[in-house]
Amino acid sequence: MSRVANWLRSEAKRQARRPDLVAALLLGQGAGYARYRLGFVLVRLLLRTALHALELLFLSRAIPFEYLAPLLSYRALAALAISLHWGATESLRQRVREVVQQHQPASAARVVESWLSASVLGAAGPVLIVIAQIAYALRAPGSEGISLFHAYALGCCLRLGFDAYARTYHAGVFALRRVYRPLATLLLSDLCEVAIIVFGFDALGAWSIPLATVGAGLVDAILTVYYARRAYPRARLRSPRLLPRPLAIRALDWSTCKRACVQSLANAGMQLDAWLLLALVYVDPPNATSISFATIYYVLRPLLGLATHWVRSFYFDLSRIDLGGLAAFRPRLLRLLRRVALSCALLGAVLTLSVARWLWPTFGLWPLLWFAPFFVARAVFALAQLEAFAARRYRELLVVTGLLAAGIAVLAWLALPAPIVVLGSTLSLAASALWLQLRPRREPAAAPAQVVGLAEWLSALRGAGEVRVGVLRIVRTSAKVSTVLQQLAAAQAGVRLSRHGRECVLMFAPVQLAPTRGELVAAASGTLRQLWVSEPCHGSGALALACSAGVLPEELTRALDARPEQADPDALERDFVAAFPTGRVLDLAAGRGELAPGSVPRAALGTFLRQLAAASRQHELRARLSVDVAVYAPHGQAQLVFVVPRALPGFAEFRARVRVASLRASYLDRSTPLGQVAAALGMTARLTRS
Amino acid sequence: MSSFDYLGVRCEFRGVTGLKRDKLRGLLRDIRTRLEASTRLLDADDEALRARTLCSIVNDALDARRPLAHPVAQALREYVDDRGQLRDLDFKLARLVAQTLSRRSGVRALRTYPPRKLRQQAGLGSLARARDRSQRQSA
Repeated sequence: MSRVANWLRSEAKRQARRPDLVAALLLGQGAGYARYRLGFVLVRLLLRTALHALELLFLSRAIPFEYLAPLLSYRALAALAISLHWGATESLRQRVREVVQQHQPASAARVVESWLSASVLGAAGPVLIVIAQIAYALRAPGSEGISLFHAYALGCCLRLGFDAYARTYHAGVFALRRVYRPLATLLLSDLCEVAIIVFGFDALGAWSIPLATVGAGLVDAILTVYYARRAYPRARLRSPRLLPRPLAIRALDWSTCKRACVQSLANAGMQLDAWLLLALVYVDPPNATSISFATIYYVLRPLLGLATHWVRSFYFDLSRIDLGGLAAFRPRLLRLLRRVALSCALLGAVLTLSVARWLWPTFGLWPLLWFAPFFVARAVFALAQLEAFAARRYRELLVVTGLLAAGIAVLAWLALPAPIVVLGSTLSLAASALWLQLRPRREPAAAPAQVVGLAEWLSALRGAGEVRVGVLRIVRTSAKVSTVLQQLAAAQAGVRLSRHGRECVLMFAPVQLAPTRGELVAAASGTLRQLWVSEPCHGSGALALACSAGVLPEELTRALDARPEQADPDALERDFVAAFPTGRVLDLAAGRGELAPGSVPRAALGTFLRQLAAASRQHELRARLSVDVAVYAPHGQAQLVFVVPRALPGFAEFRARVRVASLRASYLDRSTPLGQVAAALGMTARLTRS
Repeated sequence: MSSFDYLGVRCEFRGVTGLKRDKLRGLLRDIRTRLEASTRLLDADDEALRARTLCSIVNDALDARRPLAHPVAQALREYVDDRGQLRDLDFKLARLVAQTLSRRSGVRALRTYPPRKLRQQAGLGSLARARDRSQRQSA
């Protein structure tokens, strides 16, 4: 028992030390969260920079500088391929999320196995091509055996295969949760690579470099798979087999492959560094007489990658932000990420220039300064790109990627000086980032949800054309309102439904799709005790009819008849601050305010978020929290969150006022009471006042 | 004594299992509530349509796949094999529908809406037949 208690205590301590996105967004600890996420990236990138410098140093000892260009190109192409692979696995991540949401976790392992099979077969292609080339070269007359170039190409291809396998295995669980592993294991593969090159160079010469590439790739893949395999059970998934059956690939249908291709190409822009390296190798190849821009770029590429790799650390947060109660915090996360982008760009620029001056003291400072604006543009573009990728705006990304590729290819083809190529890339990046940011965010074209919160329902009704509105009350002894909603939604397509309290269901449907009374009674399996269906009318005036019939719930009638100044959000905030000095206001639209430290224990933040999401839908969750919450959420979008310590006198009334304000703002303009709407429609509305 | 109750089931000494009496009453009470509430909402509809709607309500309440099915619907489909009880239940359900439609009490309602007419014209289901069908399929 004491061992279990010790383990629980140490686990709790470890988790408390680990910053969390929810805590960062709710408690205003965004900077600490970003530092935690980027600490690993920075250490790794510095190590990789040293590795690249060592690799070039040892290569230049073994072969003339002029022969370095193909070797650098191999590396760039491998980086580009792994970026394409990462984009393609987005389909896998989406599919895993879908099957888990459909409560079929057993299918997740099968999905991952089919992708593993595809990755292994796909990665075998380049390896076989290189082996065939080697065999052809060996059979040629006067052959002197395997060349270093061939070995280097084979090493890059094998590492690509290991990476593809490990990343696929990792992607299956990463769709649902992060895979935590110690920092030492992240650095181990790079340290192995350095060690093999340094200690093996005397014995093997330049051959130690491809050997180090393969060895480090193998170590990295083993560690990645080991930690991913441990994470699967924690995500309540079965671990996929390590050696999938080759025929498992048959589970991938044509549409999945097509989608994966689109996602793969859409993500190709993420490896712009690799493209630029190829262009620089073309316009300014490494040579013995002067320091080439391509050489500098290759050595500093990991540091330059700081402007892009940071964003990968936040991909999981971006893809998770639209789920559950976190969606309301999206603007706050984006603001945090923009600050991180600029910080990373500036830090990367300073580090790059310092390291470059230290490594090449004779190289002029001005040519290096060309990289500074490139950093900023790259960081901003990376954020815009990943944001678009997480929002599934693949078409825009394909356009941007295509234009960027074409632009860099033209710059290289014109054989312009290397600094001009960098400047041209900077301008293209800035323009692309601006275009992606300025384009309005298009929501995926999903069918609108049939069952929504009351405020959202009112908002949809207000914008609807000719509809029939229904107010249904159920027999509480026969059924729960949530079950009736579920059955009505399944039976009646095209009907928008909502609920009020525990016995009232509200619905509306376009006139041509509206169910008859008999259909409604049958769809509800006879659990209705009262049913009112309006004549065909315009959505904006439909509730006036329901009001005049006296069938609306009292709270809704009160909301629609409330005075405009009662429902004003500024007045709500002012009155809250005056009445509850110990309370906090979180303005989600403006990104202002956060929870008081310690007001909600960290373990209860998830419950707090669920309560917030429920309150945005005008539901009350019975949660044991140390605080009470009221949410002003017109149209179902949370804008203001009012938080006070639990059971403060007067807060229940304030919460009711906030609900009324949300409902009113969802259906009526700021200054239009429902009476005016009814009068404008020529109705003799008998608005019941409470 | 020809039966005993055990774990929520009535075990007959004939070797069949059925529903306990309180569960049967609960089921009939719930269906009666549903039918009475619904018939008030269907006054404007013609007689045939009303009959079809009420029969579909009874069928839904006994269809375990529907979210609004009565809690004992699953048991009726799965382990109740007392044909006598199922036939009795069929008769009582038909009588309930007939009473609701004709607004007459007792078996006299069946003169206007006999069970055969309800099953053939309004689509009222039969638990006993469903049980026979499922047994034939499993055999």
